[in-house]
Amino acid sequence: MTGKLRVLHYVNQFFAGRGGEELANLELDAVDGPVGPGVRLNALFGDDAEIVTTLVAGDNWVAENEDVAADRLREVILESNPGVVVAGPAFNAGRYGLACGLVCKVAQDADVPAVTSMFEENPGVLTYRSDVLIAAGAEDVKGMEPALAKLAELALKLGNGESPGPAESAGYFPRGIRIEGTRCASAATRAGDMLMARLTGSPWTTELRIETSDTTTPADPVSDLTHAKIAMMTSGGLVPIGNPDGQVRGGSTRWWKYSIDGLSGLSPEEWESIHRGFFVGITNEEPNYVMPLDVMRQLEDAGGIAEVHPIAISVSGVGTHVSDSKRIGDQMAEYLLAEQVDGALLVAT
Amino acid sequence: MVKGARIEHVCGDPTLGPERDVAFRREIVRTALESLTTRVTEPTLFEPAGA
Repeated sequence: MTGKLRVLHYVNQFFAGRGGEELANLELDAVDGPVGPGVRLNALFGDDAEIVTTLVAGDNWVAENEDVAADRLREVILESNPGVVVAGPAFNAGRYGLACGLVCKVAQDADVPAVTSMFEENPGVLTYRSDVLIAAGAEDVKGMEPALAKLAELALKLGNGESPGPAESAGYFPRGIRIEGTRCASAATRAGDMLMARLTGSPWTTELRIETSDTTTPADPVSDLTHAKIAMMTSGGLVPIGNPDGQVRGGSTRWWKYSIDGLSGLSPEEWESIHRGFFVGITNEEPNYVMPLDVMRQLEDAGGIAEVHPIAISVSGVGTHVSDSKRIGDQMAEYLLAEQVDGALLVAT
Repeated sequence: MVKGARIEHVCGDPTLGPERDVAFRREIVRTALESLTTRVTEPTLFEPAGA
């Protein structure tokens, strides 16, 4: 191949320096050369590759217009004709990770190799890990340099038609592809070594990871709404104005309860959202968007439900570790069951 | 799961104007309550009219 490998890089509105959550609706834009973290990525490529085009889009625009976004991405990728597409790194930013996964999938479907990077808990991994090469990245921008280095390494391999190698050594999430090869020692030797390591407390790694399924059995339906007590919950970071209990804006390890007793709805003079993961301006003008108490009270008055539980549950559902989410969910359920709530409505942003 | 409007205004839409916004919110909540009374065996998406 003559000339440098041509790279197309995708970043979101924030990393492109266009703005934060208020610019999350930005439609797809293409610019020449590297932008934001692409500048460093370009430097890491050295003489081997060059970012010729950077695509920028808002995380909400991609999330809410996936089909249109996919079409536009495909168009621009085909027009730009890169040797490889790189997206992110997305760290633990959920919508960004999903967008990066989509970019790579669209590229691959157009026969252009692609690679992205994100944190293992990013929903983009769950959704795209089987289809797309996703490098394992740090949780936040403190890990930008190693994430970029890994992206550069994998992008060069893919762009030059090389196999990325086994997932574990190459640093990406396994895609479920198994390729025959020869191990360094017989199974008997390896099993013996692994047993010795376990017995002596030395580090060891399983060769075959058994994935347990994480399905949940749905609860029985509510039999009669007219006799039901319904609780209101949100992961939209709803707090009384001024946040008196100090609810955190993200990365929660606990949850909060607030009285909505006697309120006919949520007024913007008394409630706000402190969620750090989306633009809260619109919700702060109308808090019922994130906890629809106004219409629930109407339904309660009309007898559609027996009662709205007087305590509302709130948390900012962004950057929450899966293990914390499970624990928080268990605690919320325990509380609701103790309060003899029949059902709950959870608004997620 | 019930489909909401948009991330920034899940239960409603400010561009509809106050009356239709509340009517839309009512429809979303009505769909949510209906989903509570529906037996499901797996993740299931319920779509309110207008969402």
